[in-house]
Amino acid sequence: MQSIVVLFIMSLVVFTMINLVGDPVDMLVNPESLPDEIERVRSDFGLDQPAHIQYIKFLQGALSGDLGNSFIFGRPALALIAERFPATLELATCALIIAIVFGLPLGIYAGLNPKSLGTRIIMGGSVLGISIPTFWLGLMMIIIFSVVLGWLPVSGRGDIGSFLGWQSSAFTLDGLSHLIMPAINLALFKIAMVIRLARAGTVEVMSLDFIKFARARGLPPENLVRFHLLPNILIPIITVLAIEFGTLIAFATVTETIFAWPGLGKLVIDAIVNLDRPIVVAYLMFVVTLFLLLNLIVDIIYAALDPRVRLNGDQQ
Amino acid sequence: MTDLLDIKKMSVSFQTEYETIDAVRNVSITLRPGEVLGIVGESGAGKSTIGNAIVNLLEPPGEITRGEILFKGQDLRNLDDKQMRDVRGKKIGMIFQDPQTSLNPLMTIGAQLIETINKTINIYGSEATNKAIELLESVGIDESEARLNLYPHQFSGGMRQRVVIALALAGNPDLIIADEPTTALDVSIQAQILDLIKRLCQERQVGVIIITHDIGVIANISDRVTVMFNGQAVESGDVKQILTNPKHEYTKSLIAAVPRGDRKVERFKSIDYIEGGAQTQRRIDLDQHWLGKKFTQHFSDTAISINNLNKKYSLKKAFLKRNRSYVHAVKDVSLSIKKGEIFGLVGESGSGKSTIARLVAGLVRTDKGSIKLFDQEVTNKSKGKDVIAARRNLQMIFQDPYSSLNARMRVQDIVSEPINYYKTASTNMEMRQIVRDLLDHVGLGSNAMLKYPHQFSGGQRQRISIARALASRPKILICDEPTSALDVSVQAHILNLLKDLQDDLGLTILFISHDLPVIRQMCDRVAVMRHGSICEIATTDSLFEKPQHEYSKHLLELMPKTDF
Amino acid sequence: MKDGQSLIEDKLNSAKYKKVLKANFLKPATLIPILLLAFIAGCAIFAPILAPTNPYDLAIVSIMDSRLAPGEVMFNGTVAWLGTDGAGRDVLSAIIYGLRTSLIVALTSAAIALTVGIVVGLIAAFYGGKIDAFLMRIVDIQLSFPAILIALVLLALLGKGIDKVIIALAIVQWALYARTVRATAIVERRKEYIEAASTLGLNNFRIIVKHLLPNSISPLIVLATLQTAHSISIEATLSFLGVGVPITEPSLGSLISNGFDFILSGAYWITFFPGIMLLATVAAINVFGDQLRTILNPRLSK
Repeated sequence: MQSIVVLFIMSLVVFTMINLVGDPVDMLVNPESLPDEIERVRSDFGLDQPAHIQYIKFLQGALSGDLGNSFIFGRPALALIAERFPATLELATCALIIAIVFGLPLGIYAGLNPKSLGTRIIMGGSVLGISIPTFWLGLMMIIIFSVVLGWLPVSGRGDIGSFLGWQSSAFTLDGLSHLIMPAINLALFKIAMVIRLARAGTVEVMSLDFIKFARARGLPPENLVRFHLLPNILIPIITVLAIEFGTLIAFATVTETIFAWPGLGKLVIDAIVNLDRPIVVAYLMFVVTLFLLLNLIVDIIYAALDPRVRLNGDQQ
Repeated sequence: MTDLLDIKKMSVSFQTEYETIDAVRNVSITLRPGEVLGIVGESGAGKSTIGNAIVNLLEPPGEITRGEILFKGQDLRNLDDKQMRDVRGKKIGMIFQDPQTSLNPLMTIGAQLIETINKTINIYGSEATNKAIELLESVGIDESEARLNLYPHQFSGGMRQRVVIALALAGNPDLIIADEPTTALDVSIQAQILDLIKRLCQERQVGVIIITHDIGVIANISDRVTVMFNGQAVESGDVKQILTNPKHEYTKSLIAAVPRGDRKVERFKSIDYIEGGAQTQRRIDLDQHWLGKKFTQHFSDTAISINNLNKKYSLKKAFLKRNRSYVHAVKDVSLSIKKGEIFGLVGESGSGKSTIARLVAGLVRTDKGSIKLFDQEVTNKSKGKDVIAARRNLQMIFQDPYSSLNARMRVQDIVSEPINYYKTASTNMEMRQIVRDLLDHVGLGSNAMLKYPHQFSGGQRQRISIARALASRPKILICDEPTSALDVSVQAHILNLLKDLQDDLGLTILFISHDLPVIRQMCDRVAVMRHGSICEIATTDSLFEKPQHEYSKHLLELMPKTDF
Repeated sequence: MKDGQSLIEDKLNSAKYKKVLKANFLKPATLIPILLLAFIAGCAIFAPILAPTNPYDLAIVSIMDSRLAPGEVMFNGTVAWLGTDGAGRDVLSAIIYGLRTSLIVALTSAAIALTVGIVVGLIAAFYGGKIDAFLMRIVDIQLSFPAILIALVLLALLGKGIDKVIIALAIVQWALYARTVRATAIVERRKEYIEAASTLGLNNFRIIVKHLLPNSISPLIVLATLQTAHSISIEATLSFLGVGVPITEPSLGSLISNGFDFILSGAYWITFFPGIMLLATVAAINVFGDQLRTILNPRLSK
């Protein structure tokens, strides 16, 4: 219910703001066209009508799944987005997996051994990780691995394989070689973030009374970590990561631009530069929906994992 | 019979880059099987450190620097990490203060019990489950089989502490160390838990060490007691003998500072061993003093009069009215307090006594009813000359000395704020003189002026609070549990100070406490509260001698015995 | 009731606090970023004096100097220590001037966002109820979207320019400050010293400014430091994507973007050196922020 209200408000905000800027007709027609030619284009795209009529039309369309046609491509905006989304999803998913696989163990290690040399290296690395500008790192990776060493391809998505009906570059060798650089590039910031989250969580949970009590009962360290520490730090980390997945999709814009990855990000950057309103509006509505969905998923995960939320009803 | 535990001249210190703190110095303790030893002391005495040191659970940088800890003849200090793990749980069990935080919130209590049973006595599968059920039954939890699948948050505080005890017993230990096991619990549950520990100690012939700040607990349960002060064991021996005939000056002070429930004494005596003894406390002559200057207006004989007071808090917010639920914090309360009287409000947590304080002070809005201060109607009003004047006559002392002072202001600025705001001093010089004077009267001395609150102890902070309240030249003081966060000796000092100020200034005091002995020592009249209503209003003596209401009788029965 | 252990900690935290503070500031982990930041700030402030050439002066910039490698001598005789870019600008000079733009954008936007955030957060916490619910709902909605996305959309609407980037970054950041201040202030608001202040009869404005504000802003010190680093990064990213600062008044990000076209041809220096400067600046602020957190909150660092 609330999500629908948010969605509606966002559509209004996005539409109003986008209407304040620039005249897309300038981009659509040849500057030397005759005035009546310009008028014809204007009315073809419905741009001659007052803003509120345009909005109502847009809303009517949106409710029936039509967010208008791209000015540039002349095709439905939503279809274009649907076409490009899998590539972005693939990139973001790979980055997320990399972030968890590397970040979590390193962060827990750092939290458990606050004084060790390994921890200093990990924490130093994580500061570097959050400080290094993603796009610059991408460029440097291209210089090193593609230009100098010639190991990995510079751009594109490569061959696409299919596994259990799921199409992805991750299932062919060529695809993988295209995927690996952008995925690591995108993941780096998140690895650093997961390390910090996991470390902070570990330090906090290890200082709690129930850990001390578990140690006082003679439980060995592996039990402490597996049954007492892990579940307690995972709940906040998983919920944060679910939200951060959205951030990954947004940040993919940058990575996709550098590696010419044919995903959503490139589409929208081009649309912004070319004032292709329907694409920008459709992208934003799509992202808003995605975020609302992610928030919903977070709530569900949270309730499923935490008995204090799950069993709230039958509290004594 | 040989000793179960024999600690010889143990010292523990916390060494940091900047200084070394000797938390425990040269402490020797012995304990036999089936015996309960109490370790009593105030904050910072080092009593908890002893418990943690025995099982080597000291937080870094804490370290045992000297002495032996002989457990069944073996020195625990010589064990490595793995051997120590075998001692914990299997030989020595521990119980901590707060059952809310002692259990893993994400594991069922069954899983936590079975895990502990697996690791300590190596029993697995259905046998371990049966053992878990048996353990829960032995600590007085019925329907224990079904309850194995419940999570800690589904238990009440008292039940949770029983689960904690069951966990401590899982490895069949010979010694149990209980660190403030009942401090976080209500009085009635406290008694049950202590009984349980005593019974288990006798049935299983285990040794028990109870660490507490509460002499009542010690008197109730232990056979012998060791009194700790400032890291040292100042006195040890039989409980009866120590409580009735203490030898050490500190023990004498400590026992004298415990408020008596059985009769009223004028002041707490011979408590000077600990804090504040050296500072002078000048008496005030109201005719000469700044504090007496303003009172040209006439004051009626009734200081506070409350009529039909009601306050609801909403528990569950909902869009529809019928889905909302409320707690009736204060229900049809009427009372009147005479000028110069100390009026007590007593009741358990959630009885609404603090809400009344906040309603009278105008901190929360009244739903229904009226409040008058010296015949001036002030209900839900904060504007108007008369209302502001009436409100300025009333000041409040709060429970938590750590949060009741603004940490970012100097003591001088805290105390002078009302003087400054209402321009009750003509010059800055005069203002500083008044602040200095007030700090002197509350026993702090003027060198406190430039310091910040965090440089003071809890008792000293409470004195700052009192000075701040006095700076408004109040006629009425509301004290909301003013000493329940303080050590008992510090409490005695603060209560003495409040009594003196009341004598000198003729203050009217609304004194709120859950602690019956404190009420007895402080108040002229008392109202007993329960579930937002008043059960009984009586003079203090008649309430304690001949309570009329059932609930008053019940409360008085639970009152810790102090006639040792 | 406090146990012995925590009392000892309290004692350590307060009595020796100044000593600990001083010792912490002299540790290399704190001192090095501070010195580095001082150096960077110095470069930015004295850019016109320090830079070998003025990259904005079209009269000096010559296309003849295009893409000189580091160390080569430019047409007018100055040595291009870090090479020149495609238009023949000295990269070193461009970096020094670019740093200036980056820092101005980050600091100005932080100042605006902090002011707005603190005011909103304090109002929400102090008045509570519907005002709080309304303000925090806006904050929640905004914070559920990534900063880069919001900035991207805002700049698409506002157009290019330093002032527009500053506005966009301020809008992106205020919500986080508001939420943080509100979270602290709502805890502080429930504390008894606020109740004491209102029993003294002080008016709301005075209570908020004198009591609530000083006790609620300390978490912001660390947050604002780290957030400034973050906004330098965001600005660079936006400029790289071509929606931030125009190339006529380059920031570090637009310099890197400028070199993007040349990396495949081997002119790495046009992107490499501005990137290193950007990394050094952001990392120095981040390390400093982390140290600040440890110093202000010793419990975390055990």
